[in-house]
Amino acid sequence: MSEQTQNTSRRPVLKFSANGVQNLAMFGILVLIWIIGSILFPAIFNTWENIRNILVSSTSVIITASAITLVLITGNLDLSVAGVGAMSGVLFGLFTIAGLPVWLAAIAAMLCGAVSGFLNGFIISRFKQPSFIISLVFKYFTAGIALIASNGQSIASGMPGNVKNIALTISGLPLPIVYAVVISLIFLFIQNNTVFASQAYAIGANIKTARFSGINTVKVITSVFTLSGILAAFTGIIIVSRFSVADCSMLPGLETDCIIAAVLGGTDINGGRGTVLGMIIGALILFTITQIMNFLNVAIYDQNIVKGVVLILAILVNDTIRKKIKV
Amino acid sequence: MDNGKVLEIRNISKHFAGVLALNDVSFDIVKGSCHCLIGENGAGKSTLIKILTGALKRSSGEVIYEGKPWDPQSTREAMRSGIGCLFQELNVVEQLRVEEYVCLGLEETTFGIIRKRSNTKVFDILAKIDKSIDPKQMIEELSVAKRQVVEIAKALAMDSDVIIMDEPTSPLSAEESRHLFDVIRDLKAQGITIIYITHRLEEVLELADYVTVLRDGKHIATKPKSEIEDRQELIRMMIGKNIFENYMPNTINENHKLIEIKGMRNRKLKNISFDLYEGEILGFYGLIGAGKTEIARAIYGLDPFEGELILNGKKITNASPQKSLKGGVALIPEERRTQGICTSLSIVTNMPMMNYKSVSKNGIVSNIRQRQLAKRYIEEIDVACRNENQTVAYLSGGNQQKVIIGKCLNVCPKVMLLDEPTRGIDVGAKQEIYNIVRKLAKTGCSTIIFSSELAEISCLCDRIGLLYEGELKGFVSNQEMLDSQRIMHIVTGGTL
Amino acid sequence: MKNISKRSLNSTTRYNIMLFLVLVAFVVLFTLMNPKFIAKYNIFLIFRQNLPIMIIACALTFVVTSGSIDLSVGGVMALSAITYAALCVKGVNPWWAIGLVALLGVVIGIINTILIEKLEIPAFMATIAGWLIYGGLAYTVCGGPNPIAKPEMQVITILDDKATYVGPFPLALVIVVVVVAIFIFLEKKTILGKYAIAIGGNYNAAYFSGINVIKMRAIFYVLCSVMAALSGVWQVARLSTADPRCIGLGAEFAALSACIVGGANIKGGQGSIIGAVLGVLLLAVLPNGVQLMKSALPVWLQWLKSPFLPQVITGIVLLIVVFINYIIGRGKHYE
Repeated sequence: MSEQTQNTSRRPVLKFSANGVQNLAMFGILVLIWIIGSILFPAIFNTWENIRNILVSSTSVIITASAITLVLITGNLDLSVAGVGAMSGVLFGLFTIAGLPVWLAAIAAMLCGAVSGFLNGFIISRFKQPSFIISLVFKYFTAGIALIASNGQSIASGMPGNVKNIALTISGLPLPIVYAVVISLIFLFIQNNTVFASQAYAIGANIKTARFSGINTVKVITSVFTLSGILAAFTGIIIVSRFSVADCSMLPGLETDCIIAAVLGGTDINGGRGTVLGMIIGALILFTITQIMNFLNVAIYDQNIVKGVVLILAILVNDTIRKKIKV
Repeated sequence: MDNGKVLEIRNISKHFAGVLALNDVSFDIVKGSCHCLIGENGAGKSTLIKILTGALKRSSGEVIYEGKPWDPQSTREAMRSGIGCLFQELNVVEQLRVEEYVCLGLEETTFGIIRKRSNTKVFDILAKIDKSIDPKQMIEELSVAKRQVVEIAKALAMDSDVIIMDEPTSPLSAEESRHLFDVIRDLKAQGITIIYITHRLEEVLELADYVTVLRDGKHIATKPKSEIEDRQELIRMMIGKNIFENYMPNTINENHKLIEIKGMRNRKLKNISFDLYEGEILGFYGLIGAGKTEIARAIYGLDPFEGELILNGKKITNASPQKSLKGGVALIPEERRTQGICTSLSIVTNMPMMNYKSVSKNGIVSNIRQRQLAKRYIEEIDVACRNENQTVAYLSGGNQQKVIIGKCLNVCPKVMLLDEPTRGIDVGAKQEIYNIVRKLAKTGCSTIIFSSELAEISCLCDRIGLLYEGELKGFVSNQEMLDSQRIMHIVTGGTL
Repeated sequence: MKNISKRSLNSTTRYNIMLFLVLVAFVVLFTLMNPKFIAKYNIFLIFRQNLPIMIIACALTFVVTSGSIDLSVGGVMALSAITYAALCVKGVNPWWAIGLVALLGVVIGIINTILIEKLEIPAFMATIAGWLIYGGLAYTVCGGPNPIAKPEMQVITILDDKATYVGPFPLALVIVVVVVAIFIFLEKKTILGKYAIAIGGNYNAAYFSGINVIKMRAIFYVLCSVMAALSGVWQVARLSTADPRCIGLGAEFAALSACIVGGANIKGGQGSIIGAVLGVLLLAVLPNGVQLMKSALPVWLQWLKSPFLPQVITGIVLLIVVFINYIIGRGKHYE
């Protein structure tokens, strides 16, 4: 082994370090926004309770967007996650009412999410169809199933008490935060260290080259969509557990929130670029801004306006950074 | 035929990073003539055409069009100023009718409403060149031959005096080609000048009023047809004197066949059969459309075919890139930027793409090993870059090709397929790539080179298969390649 | 001389004819199952309910054919509806209010053009952001999720379809016919239709022919937003209330699906106004007919009565259309 390689083997290097610059910048923005919040609301902003609230509200997005980031990296979109989450949440509630033990009901519901994601990804990759149309179709399919299964009503009664256990708060730490941390770390590892993720990047960067290089594009794309389905299902289950209510409109705007979080985190809509770490920072930025707006008593619908503007700005900033920074 | 000059090409040169594509080219084109432009691949024909159509800017020299300097700022400006081009990828819009497409952008309108009168111009143009095309027909229903005529009509509608045709008979049958020649004669009668690029020398002898030969970016000769004896003379001018240096025979193990192909045929190939021996460098030589890429793609598993493919003794059915890579066959594709590498990713990310097992265990990639892999090949193959993190898009063509070679070497291949491996690459990098191929042969890895550069094939290959129009005309030894006259004769349609 | 008469029909016309036949087949089927289906009331109801989608789908066809997309129409519809109602309540003459709202549509169309063509934000993202922004603004204008349903609104309900007839036909039908006729005229007799096909079908061809792509796309986006704005007005007139929570919901999916079912290719280069209208009709007739089949349904199919039925049916039809197009190799594929 030459001297050169001996030196590098001592230093573990984080892959895709060009993204590191972007993540650092986004983290700086997160800190900036935090400071603004602290200035505006000195008494309530810098408390553990506030931090916990922000984290809890961001868990849905962080969990789902962990997989969505991979989907975006392959150059595709998954708009069905809100529907899959609602469907799985409703089915979860119904399964528990039907007598299934909570853990089994959860697994069954996540399986349904997996099936939806699998079909979604398979149709897109095998038949080379545009992902946003197919995933939009699946959004309505799954939302329809949710509606039909629940007869349009909220399912509030009949679920066993231990449904709550999934989203319990143990000595001040809500379990959903733990789930979000664990899952995002898992996906961080996947995105950074697996062959699977490397293939996803290749497909997003240039699908023709990926095929020429022997990558099985159908397998990879179907897999990322399946993962997205599973995580969306899990998100739905957590919501049901937190509020003990299963309702079709449980996860409004989940897909746009996930996309905003990923784009803020440096993920390129066209594929080939993006990190889970960036997505986490992006989600935190999004929900910190949301919390500030909540404290300012800005109404939900007005918050949507802000989200739309943030999305446009995030894309423009991403584009500018990409054009200016040449490695 | 008007004897004035419509185009004067004066001392045109064109540099690309390190490569001199055109070197002081000068000749004239007479108005109303059919002027054929011939030369081997890489001779500079397409570069010259791109300069004429405004797709490239010349490095030096000037072009005079109808007495005035020709300097279009864009392809659109060029097209609308009198020089039209029939590209190999036709620009017709399938969902429009013929008359709608020909008039596109030229309609007479009041506030956007189209007036009926604009269509009569189209009728006239079409009637003059091809009465059998119904202007109201949808373009999607037309054959390629008829679509070409529609493109010609569009060029005429845009008042083009010069129409450039780049290998127009490639997709046509013999009869359709005849028809195109009639159209060309009609155009000449109307005073339109045709610049016709082809490798089919029979067509040149039939159609041309003048012939210009380019070789290695230089202008060799421009002659009127009356002064040309026969195709052999054209061949002589295209090839010149070739000194085939550097060829050294390889040690071939005739007992071990790495690849056996029997009766391979598909849409583009007709009954190809051959064997590849261990340690051999095999070549396939032919001009555009001969079928070289098609054979490479079929062996590698990208295109379906009928016939038998045996890799290392094992019969392969339903070939795919994955199966080929597992079997030790790697392909360096024809288009490096769109098929060989992911240009937006770095060298480190691109390198292990064909064989992730080399940097991973159980699906987990070791970032350290990946970095080492990239560094290793950067050093071994001498890729000129700032470091392994550099985005591949910023490397020169030659270095990009070296990255692709690294990708393939990472598979530890037994067979390498190289499709036009040094197209558009500077001389230095060419030599380096040739040396890599020779080294590979010594280690027992055989190579098949698909190329349209005679010199390249001759300095590397032990045996060469000659292709023409999807047919394997036969094999010749490296010695026989010295008779470049004969070789060129075969690959342009002659008999073995 | 030319043999024009023996020309066979082109693929778009053939597709539209097949679509028409499928539509007729379903109409016949539903009528057989429940004669009330073909009653005047029901037919007119279908037109009243789907007028917004029909006129949006006409304009959206140009956008999609030229290779782009506009998903903000639902938000534009909501914002226009609320703005119109607010203006009327403030005492503005309803016809002036309609004009102002149409102007709003023009402005939004221009904003879309700037975002997509000048700033090069992918159309999908830019219009989704627009959907969020305009939808949110709708709430802002009416001060929260409070529908506007004041007595002052009576003035504008001269447009109330149930009362207004032009001859034997309801106003809705008349408006649809007029708008579709205008769009077909635009498609066939002006440069709009051909340039859209050229831009979406072969960008080089459009470029070399000297077409100003940005200008053309601007026209398409503006038409789309204006149609969305006007259909928002229609919803207010029809329902006598302006509720930001449900006006325009799902409009983008319905209109886009109608275009695709009508033969438009999402990658551009193909699409027809007639096809889009037939698409809207088919996607409207299906859930309507199913809902009317009340007695004929076995218990296990009772779920077909759910209010989410239109979207589910749209999804199924979309998938079928996508598969059929794939199998017959129609249109451009993704690589």
